[in-house]
Amino acid sequence: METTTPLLQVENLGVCFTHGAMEAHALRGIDLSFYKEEIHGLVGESGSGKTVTSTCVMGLLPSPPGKIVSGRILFDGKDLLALPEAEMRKVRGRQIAMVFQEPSKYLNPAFKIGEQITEMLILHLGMTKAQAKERARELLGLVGLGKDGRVLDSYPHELSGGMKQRAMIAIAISCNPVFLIADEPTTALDVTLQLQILKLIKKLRDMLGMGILFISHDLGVVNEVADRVSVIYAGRIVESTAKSQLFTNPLHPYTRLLIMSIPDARKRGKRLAAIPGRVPDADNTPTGCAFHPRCPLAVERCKIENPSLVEYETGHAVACHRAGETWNI
Amino acid sequence: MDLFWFFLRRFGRLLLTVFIISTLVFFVIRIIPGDPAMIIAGMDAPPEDVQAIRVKLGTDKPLTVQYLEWLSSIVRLDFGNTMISGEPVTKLILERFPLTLILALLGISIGIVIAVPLGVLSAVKRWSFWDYFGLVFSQLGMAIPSFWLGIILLLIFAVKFPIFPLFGSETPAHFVLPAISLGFARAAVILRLARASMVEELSKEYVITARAKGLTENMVKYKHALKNALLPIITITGIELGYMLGGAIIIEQVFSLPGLGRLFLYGIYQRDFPLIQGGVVFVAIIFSLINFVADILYSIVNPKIRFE
Amino acid sequence: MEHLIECKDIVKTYRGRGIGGAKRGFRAVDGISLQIDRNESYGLVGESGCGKTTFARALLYLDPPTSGSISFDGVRLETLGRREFRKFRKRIQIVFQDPNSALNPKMSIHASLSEGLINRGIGETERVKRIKDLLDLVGISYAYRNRYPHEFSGGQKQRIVIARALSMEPDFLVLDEPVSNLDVSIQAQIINLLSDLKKEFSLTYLFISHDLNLVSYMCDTIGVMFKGKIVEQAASETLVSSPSHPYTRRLLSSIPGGAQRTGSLGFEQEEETAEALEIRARSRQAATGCPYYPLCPLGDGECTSLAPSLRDIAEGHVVSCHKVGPAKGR
Repeated sequence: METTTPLLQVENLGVCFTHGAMEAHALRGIDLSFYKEEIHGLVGESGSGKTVTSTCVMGLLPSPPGKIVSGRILFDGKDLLALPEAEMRKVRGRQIAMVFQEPSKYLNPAFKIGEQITEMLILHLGMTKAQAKERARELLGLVGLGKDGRVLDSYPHELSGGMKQRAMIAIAISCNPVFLIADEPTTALDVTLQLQILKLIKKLRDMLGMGILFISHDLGVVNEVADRVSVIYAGRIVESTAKSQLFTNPLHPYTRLLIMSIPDARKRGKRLAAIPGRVPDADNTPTGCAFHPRCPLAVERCKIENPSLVEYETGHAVACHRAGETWNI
Repeated sequence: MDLFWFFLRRFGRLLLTVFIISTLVFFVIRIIPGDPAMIIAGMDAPPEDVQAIRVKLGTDKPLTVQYLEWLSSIVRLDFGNTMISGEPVTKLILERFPLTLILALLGISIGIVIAVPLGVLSAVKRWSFWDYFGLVFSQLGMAIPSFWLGIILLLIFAVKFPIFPLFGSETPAHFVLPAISLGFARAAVILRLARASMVEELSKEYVITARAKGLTENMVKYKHALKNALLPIITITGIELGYMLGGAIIIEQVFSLPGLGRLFLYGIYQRDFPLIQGGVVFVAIIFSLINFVADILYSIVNPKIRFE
Repeated sequence: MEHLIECKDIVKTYRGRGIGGAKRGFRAVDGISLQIDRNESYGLVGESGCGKTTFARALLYLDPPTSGSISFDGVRLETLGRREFRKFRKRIQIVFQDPNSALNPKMSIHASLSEGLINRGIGETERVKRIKDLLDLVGISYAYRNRYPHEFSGGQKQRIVIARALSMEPDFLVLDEPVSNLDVSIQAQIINLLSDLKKEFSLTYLFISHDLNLVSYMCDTIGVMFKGKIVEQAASETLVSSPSHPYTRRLLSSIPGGAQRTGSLGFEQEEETAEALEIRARSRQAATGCPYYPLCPLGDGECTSLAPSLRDIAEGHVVSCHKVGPAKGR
């Protein structure tokens, strides 16, 4: 599934938000590589920086108060962060597209679904109205919204939650983007609908060969849908590997603890391994390794030196001084 | 199809409103202490004259009969005859209504033409020159009474620099100053609403989606956000138009325009009950009609409303 | 031994639209009967719209049931006068999903916690002591007692809400999605806290959630809700290992990345595509009969005419379905 050159590469991305005198470093050096035909799951809790990452890739970081302080995003031979807005606008929607979390808020209530698709086709691909309408119909069929054109003429509020999300996906893939960002697309959906959407995303990866960045806080969802997984904590990537590796051999204590803290039937009767404390605020990140105050393996070194993301085994990178070590629960 | 049912429901509401207003007018007039016939005839009038007036007014009949007659006359839009000239009230109203309506429409048009673009611009370019300009404009508009503005405009543009005529209603030029006086105050309100509405829409999530689709900023603002922002503005416009009809009364005095306002004012001075009654009901009908149209327009622009 | 909570045929109908309720009323809760024993943890599971929150609110009389009876500790609540009812009501507390709306933003947490204690007539010195104990219990520093809700994180707020519920010394705690809004690492903390508190105070829980994983971990018994009815109920180990009702199986197989998806099910329900389900649902609008029929791969004629009711298929395991049961096997 991997080709050697990444489709999109994030290098040492640093983002800072300024509120008056306070400076919040939301991203402190993110390294991520995305490949064609691969679903890359980005797992993190709220405040970890996962949404900020996707915002930067799309070039939609609100510029006050946010600011890119370091790094590059390489795509199609260019650094997206250095592109002028007019150029970036051609990339958005056309080559890189995005699906959001709550379709009822992220779809414009005043326009029919058909129109929300055709406007992109007309703008980016230069289609005529008739052509665009035909293509929109095909796209809706592709995402499982039927071929009879009912949804085409419907307003968002006339559709159910699952259907709205499919519609958003149809809008996103309409111009055949090579890279799709899905930001918690199933979080707001019921579990049965969730699975359907995840399957749809996998199907689209196969059919259209897109590279997909799938953001989620839910390890179960990521386990279901991703090929590779990266774990983000306090604005840095702490672990990155193939999905199966992550769940069978997690190397970073945060990853291990996350997996152990998820309840399920098999753990019944046993205490969950909860991580003490909470995710640090971006304006008050601990020195050294940001995880050290909560880490069962923390030693002096961890308080001073911030570990870099290094390849521990083939295809498995970790940012931890004591990667792979275990502890007594 | 839902539009049809919505239309029907709203129309039903319209009829209900008119019915309630008519009933209210009927009872309010009769609750007022004093016999209308005596008030009209005067304190010293001989009883036969008073009785004659009562017959003319119809107040000698039992209440229920009067009420039913009242309702049936409303349906036929026959408000009886004025006491003063004996002419049918309806005829008088319909003669003068067009002028008032034109004035109100002009007023609201000026209001919208100034306020909506300015409001939208203020929202899009917040804290810029246009925003401050709009702020000042709306403050002035709310502080300055329309009749004062009317008089000032007359002084400047009809007396000092005789560009516009002083009174009368023959030519279109006669309507310019009145419409501006009328529209200015309401423009202020509409502007603030337009700005607030646009600001709110611009902060909504679907705007992020629009940007993520690679749409140009103009498309994002003036196609996606604006369409949603217009909704409350349309509703307000309907209500404002109703107020314009009321405000027109004052302006008509200032500019000596022979409209509905002057007619009713006259009727009030003369205690001409049929005229007053007819006037109130008429205005109520117009007001309801305007809101009805605004509702329908709103539902065309915002499909969600059709299901209410 | 008597059940602590016993509900019989709870129905909650919302009036239909139209003048005089012309359109048919909507039955959010359509005849729920369940029993919860002392110290038991009962999990009510279902997707959005199934009526679980409505049921919780009906149970607490926040939105009283349209019909049906609720017995608490052997006493039927409908028979009580106002004063008596209030006394019983205090023994049931609820923790909601969103701590932001549960806590008054204008009251310091000390004030929020004092309210309930003042209501119970507890004097000031005793109150101070109890509040300190409560905050200790839930892991919030007493030094923060004069702070306001917005100064705390989501997880901390939820702890405060739990502390407040405990200040009333309840026997029975209803928890409606208590951890859904929280981060994963915080969820585990709160779940552990709830388990500890349950042991320490011998509490009885009604745990409502859409998350089957969570419920199968926390609870002794699980009831699965669909469209206002319980369609299956069993001990949690049994439900997870031998799910019987087609909806339960569908729920279990939809858990993403879940172990339940591999092999343990009798038929490949998860392979059905969304389109197939939708086509089936559209072609089967049954007003009578089983409410799950439109989505059910097993449904046939019998299911359209007669609504199934809960039957025993094994010890402590009830299902509401015509197509499964001890006689028919799986």
